[in-house]
Amino acid sequence: MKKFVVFIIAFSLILVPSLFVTSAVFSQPCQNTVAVSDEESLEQELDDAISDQLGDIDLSEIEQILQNTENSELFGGMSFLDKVASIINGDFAKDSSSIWEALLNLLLDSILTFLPIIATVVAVSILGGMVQNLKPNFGKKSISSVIHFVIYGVVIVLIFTIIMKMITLTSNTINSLKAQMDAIFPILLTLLTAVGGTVSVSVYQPAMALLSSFIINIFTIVLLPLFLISTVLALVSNLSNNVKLDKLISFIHSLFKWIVGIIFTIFISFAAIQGITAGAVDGLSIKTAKFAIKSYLPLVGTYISDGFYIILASSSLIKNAIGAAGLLLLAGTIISPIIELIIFTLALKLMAGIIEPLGDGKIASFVNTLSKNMTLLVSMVVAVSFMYIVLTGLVMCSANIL
Amino acid sequence: MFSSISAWILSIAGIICISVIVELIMPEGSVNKYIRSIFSFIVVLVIISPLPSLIGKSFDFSQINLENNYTLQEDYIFQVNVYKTEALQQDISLAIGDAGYENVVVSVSCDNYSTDFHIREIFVELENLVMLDKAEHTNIIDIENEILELIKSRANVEEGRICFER
Repeated sequence: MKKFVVFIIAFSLILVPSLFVTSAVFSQPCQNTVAVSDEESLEQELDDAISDQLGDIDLSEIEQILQNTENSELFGGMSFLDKVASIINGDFAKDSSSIWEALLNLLLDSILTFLPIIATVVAVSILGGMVQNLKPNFGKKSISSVIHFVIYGVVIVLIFTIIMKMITLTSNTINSLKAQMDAIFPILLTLLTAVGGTVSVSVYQPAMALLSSFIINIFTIVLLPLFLISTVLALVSNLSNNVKLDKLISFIHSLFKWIVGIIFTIFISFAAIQGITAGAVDGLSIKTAKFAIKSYLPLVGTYISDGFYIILASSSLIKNAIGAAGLLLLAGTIISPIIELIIFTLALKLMAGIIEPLGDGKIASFVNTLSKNMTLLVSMVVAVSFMYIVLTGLVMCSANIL
Repeated sequence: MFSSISAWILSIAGIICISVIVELIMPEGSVNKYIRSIFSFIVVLVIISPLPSLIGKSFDFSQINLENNYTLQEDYIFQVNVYKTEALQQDISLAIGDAGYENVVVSVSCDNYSTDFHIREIFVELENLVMLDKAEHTNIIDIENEILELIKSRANVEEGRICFER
């Protein structure tokens, strides 16, 4: 049962955004009850309206962000405007094989960067373990303690160089997500206003402000230091035999998880409930106007095409396409940090596994605790980007009245 | 707030490092385990030391800035409103033409600078009215009423905002 629910949720998460795009793209021309001969002229009219409106909207900020992004493979070298235009035309991902290739390259690259560190740490700690096991009996316990300290120091220096890199990577990723939100959200709100979703705008504007300032601040000011604290405690905890801080570390882990979980749940539920309600209200207010027209006009043929609704439809199409392109940009931004973080977490686990039988038990448990810590960083990036995705998806699906 | 947290963490780390060093240089003997327990006690003290000061302390959340209002792109909204106005004007003229009245000039005046699309007034000039064969009415008042119905079905405005010029 539980698995089934999870499957349904995952499936709908995957399917829903793509549905928005495709349904928005394909539903527009068909809904207008038009004779077959007029369909082409209607499409032409829609195309004209879309290109007019695309020229009017100011995308300079997001174009600049796109140029500064390193991984723009998902955009295939296109500008943001071109990508939006191609999404409107229906080719969402033209060459999916190249995306997979880029992803695979990214994966191999990050594995290769961590391989030397894994090898060095494993070699050092195994060497240390062998020295401790094979040393002549000096009769003193402190010799082995000193050896332990030396090896521990080397391992710490090696691993912390990468952990520092991971921390800057995470905070950079979150900051660039914030920059993207600040660029995309005003455009989406503008388009939502143009479509006529004034109630939705009044709901989404505070939600977006909350996400891009308050929640991101909590992530960088509160949660990133919590990660650092638990890392330092993990380091200290394995230093001596008689003072253990494992429970304190697990307290900080659960504090972190509770904070992320509460923020996430409250934000998503509020945004979703309010957004869906507001979207329904907006949809109704515009639909009533549309039905009024249908009931008043009795004859087919007197009523050829409705220019007003073509303008609305093109705004709505542009809104959805810009949302989709923004999500694509988001994917391009987060995919490489997430892959790197996950590979590093796995590498730490692998190190712990290799070190444990031969080397020092304390170093193995230190590395294992670090790998648990790294999942906190992954969850930070994933949580922020998921809230962004949900908000953009809600904006895309609200006020799609036509 | 955050500097005190880092001080707390550093003191935990420091006291553990000191205990480890003391453990290293201490000769073996019966005093050893007492010193160990004393150090454990100190570690516990250091860990719980910030807890009493948390009670009754009010936190300053003013650092977290919530004022992040996005400004809409007014130019775009204005432009789309202009498009909408033009489209509406064209729709109405087409409908009137279909009903059999030609040379009727319709001009829609909208509040283009506001974010929600409001129709101020619709002017209909009937000066050069030409009636075709399919026109239902010949009386000017009937024609006005028919045009009024046509416009109301399309534009969702009150009757008072539609003006006729003969």
